[in-house]
Amino acid sequence: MVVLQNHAGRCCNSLRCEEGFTIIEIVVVIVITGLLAGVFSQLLITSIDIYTEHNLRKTAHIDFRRAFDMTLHDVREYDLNEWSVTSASQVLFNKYNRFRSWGSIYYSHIRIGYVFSGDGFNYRRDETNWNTQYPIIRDGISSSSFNTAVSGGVPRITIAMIAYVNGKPMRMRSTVYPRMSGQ
Amino acid sequence: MVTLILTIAFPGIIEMYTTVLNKSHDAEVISIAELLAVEQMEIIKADKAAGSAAGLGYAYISQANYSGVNPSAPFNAWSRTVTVQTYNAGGTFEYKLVTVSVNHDMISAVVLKTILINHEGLG
Repeated sequence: MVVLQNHAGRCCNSLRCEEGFTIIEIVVVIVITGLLAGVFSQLLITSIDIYTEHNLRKTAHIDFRRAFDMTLHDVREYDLNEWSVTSASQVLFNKYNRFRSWGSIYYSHIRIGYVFSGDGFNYRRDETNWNTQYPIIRDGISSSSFNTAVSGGVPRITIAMIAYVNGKPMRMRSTVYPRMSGQ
Repeated sequence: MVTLILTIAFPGIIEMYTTVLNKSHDAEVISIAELLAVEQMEIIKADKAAGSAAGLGYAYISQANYSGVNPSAPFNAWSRTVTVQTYNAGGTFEYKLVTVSVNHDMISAVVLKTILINHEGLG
C-alpha cells in the first residue's frame, strides 16, 4: 500500500489526494486569459485605427484652416465694389497697385480670386483666362461654396467648406466683410 | 495571477481609452468654435461699419440686437452668445466691449472680445 503525505501533513492513500491543479482548472485559466488577451488585443487594434484616423483628420483640418484663413485675410482687404464675379464656386476681385508717373497718380490692378474646382481649392490670377492657378488644396473638398449676404449695405462673404476624410464629413464655415467697404 | 491583474486593470484601461479618444477630438471642435466666433464678430463689425444711415452703425451694437445668434445647421452642436457692455456712456470716452462666446459640450468656451468706438461724424 502506498501512503502519501501532502504539504499540510495530511495523509492520503492515493495519488488523487496530491495537491496541485487539475486539468480542468488549467483549461479554465487558459480560456479566461485567452479571452482577456483577445479583448485587449482588439482594444489595441481599435485604438490604433482610431488614432490613425484622428491623426489624418487633424492634419486635414490644419490644411483646411490654412486655406480658410488665407481666404478670409485676403478678402478682408478689398472693397466689395470691386467684386466682379461672385458665385457659389468662386470669388474674384481686383488687387490695386497705386503708382505715380509724371506727377500724376495712376492705378492698375490685377484680378485675383479663389475658386472651388472639382474637389480642389485654387488661388487664381487673371492673366490669360485664369490659366495661372495656385492650388491650395488639391483634393478632398466637395459641396463647397461661397455665399454673399448683404446687410445694411455692407456685403459679407460667407465661406462654407465640406471635406470628407475617410468618408466622414468635416465642415467649416465663417464670414468676413471687406474692410474697405465700410467706415 | 495574470487573470486577476488583467481583470483589475480592465476598467481603468477602458476609461483611459475613452478619455484619450474624446480628448483627441477636441482640437477640431475648438477650431470650429473659433471660426464660428469669428463669423459672429465679423457680422457685428460689418453692422457697425454700415453706419447709422443704413439703420445700423455704432448705436445699433447692443446686446438686444444679438440675442438669437446660435449657429445655423450643420453647426447646431455649438451655441453662441453675444454680450455688449457700454462704458462711459454718453461721455467723451464712450466705448463698447463686445464679447462673442461659443460653447460646445466637449470644450471650454471659446471667447473673442473687441472694443468698438464711434467713428461716425469724424469726417
